Amino acid sequence: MTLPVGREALYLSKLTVLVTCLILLLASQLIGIRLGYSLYAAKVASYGDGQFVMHNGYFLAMIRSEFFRLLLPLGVSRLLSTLSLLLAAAVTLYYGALCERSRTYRGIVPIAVAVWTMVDVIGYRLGEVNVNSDPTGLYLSSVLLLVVSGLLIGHSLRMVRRGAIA
Amino acid sequence: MGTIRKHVALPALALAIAVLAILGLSVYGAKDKGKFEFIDLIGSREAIRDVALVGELSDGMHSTSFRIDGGRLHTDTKLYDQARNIPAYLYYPGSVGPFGAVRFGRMEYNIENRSTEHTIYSRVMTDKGYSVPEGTAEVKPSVVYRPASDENASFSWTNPLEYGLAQIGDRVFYTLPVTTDYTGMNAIYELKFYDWGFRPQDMKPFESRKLVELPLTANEPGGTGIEILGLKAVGDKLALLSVEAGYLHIRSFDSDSGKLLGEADLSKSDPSINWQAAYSERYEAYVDSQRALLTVSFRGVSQDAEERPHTAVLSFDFSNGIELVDWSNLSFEGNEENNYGGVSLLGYRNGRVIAVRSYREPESEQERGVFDILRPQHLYLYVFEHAKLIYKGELATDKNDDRIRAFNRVGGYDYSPTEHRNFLNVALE
Repeated sequence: MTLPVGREALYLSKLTVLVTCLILLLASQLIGIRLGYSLYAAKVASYGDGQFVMHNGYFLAMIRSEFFRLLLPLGVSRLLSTLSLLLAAAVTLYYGALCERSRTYRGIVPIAVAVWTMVDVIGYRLGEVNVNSDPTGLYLSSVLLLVVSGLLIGHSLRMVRRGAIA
Repeated sequence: MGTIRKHVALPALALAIAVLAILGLSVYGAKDKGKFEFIDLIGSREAIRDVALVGELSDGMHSTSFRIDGGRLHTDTKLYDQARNIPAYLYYPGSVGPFGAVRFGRMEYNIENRSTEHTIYSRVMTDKGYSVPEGTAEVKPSVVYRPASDENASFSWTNPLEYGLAQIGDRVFYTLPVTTDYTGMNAIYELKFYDWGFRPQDMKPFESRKLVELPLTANEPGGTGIEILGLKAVGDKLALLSVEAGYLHIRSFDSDSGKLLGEADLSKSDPSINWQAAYSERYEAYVDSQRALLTVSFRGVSQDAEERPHTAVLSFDFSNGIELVDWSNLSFEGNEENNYGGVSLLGYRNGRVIAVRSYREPESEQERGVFDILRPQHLYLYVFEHAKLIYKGELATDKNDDRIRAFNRVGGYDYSPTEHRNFLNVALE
């Protein structure tokens, strides 16, 4: 196909849109969580003269729930981990689609590595409270995901440039 | 419309990032919005101008460290990246904790005795909230037990054996809290620990060194009687608490040479009281090592139906021998003591006795929490001058909100310290 812009630009713009959509999804969920908390707290406040409402409860809910800490991390190491998960999810999805279209089935290997790591990290973070070993910054897994994402972006660009997409 | 659609991607990305940033910053900013107030209930704040109260209110995910200095409250809240394991059993600093172990800093000790041998086990507290075994020491005391009554009675001691332990730096000292039924020779031993589980063949280098000998001749028939209550470290001196001829004595020993540096005999201060009958042996001891002060409190056992039990708080200055600087009979109102995660501190400063205590509210009619431990707690700071209460303040926090989860609960409850805020490392400075 002949295009007025370079093929790389096409790939990158589509990737940007995918990442934007994921971030918009995350933002809308977090807004939903905030509104949900307010609605529920208002309802609970109407019971028993308000003795069931916690002061500063939204803050406590956000830091005491591992799931909310996964979505809205408040520390540097956890922020890096969530961002790397987000990027890896977007890149792996797009890469999988490109591999399937260009019939490069060996692409399953880096995808498997990325997915395995993502599942491991999410599983660890959701069960963080019960762990008996030393606390970890999860830097190894974040760096691994970022490196794999970088490699996948590189390979995707090469596939798009070669015009191997059917 | 077409123009907007063509160019909406990057602004949408910027909008999404902005929303995330705003949400994240608002949650992060809310960390300082918890209620943390220091309220004067009785008296004026002038009374605490020369003492500082420091500590932390923490759960597994965040920790607010506070400092009340010169009457002003400063707080600082920190969020942890990963949940921290808080030790599930919180000890009072001055006394023996639950399960019989005593804690000095990061070390925990408990003692087993089988007739003629006492074995002291040491454990070190890890960051993960539990302690691991570290060492073992053995003592073979030369005391003889001859109970006045029942021949088959098992050993009885004045206080749990752990009251006889004291730690100075890395050195641990031990004496037996003997009752009047013991004769022979008691001593203050300096313990030598070998690695737990690896008892050496040659025990010579690990034999405890006798620092001070304490003859128990007063317990022979016809003597006036001596009971050892316990041992406490004040700076680099050792304080031995005993009851002799029915009266409280405190002696100060040098921990290197074992020399007697001073002795305080309370019968000289107030001979009218029969100490042994009036007070319970389980004392609480607090040390201000900067000022070489030892503050000991004894709970009174009321003999008389009308007399309310009080707490005798004595403060001794150890800088030059021993000197009794204060003896106050205080009464804390009849609130229920808080023995789980409670705070109890005593100090003496410039003629005033300072106490920090946490209490549970008494049972109310509308009791929502089924369990006693779940009643609301309050942390109070008291100042007494000449045994009169001149100041009472409360550090009011949101801590009691954490109980809401357990309201109206029928089954069990885990009191997980990760989800319940507790006061940790509270100290007077």
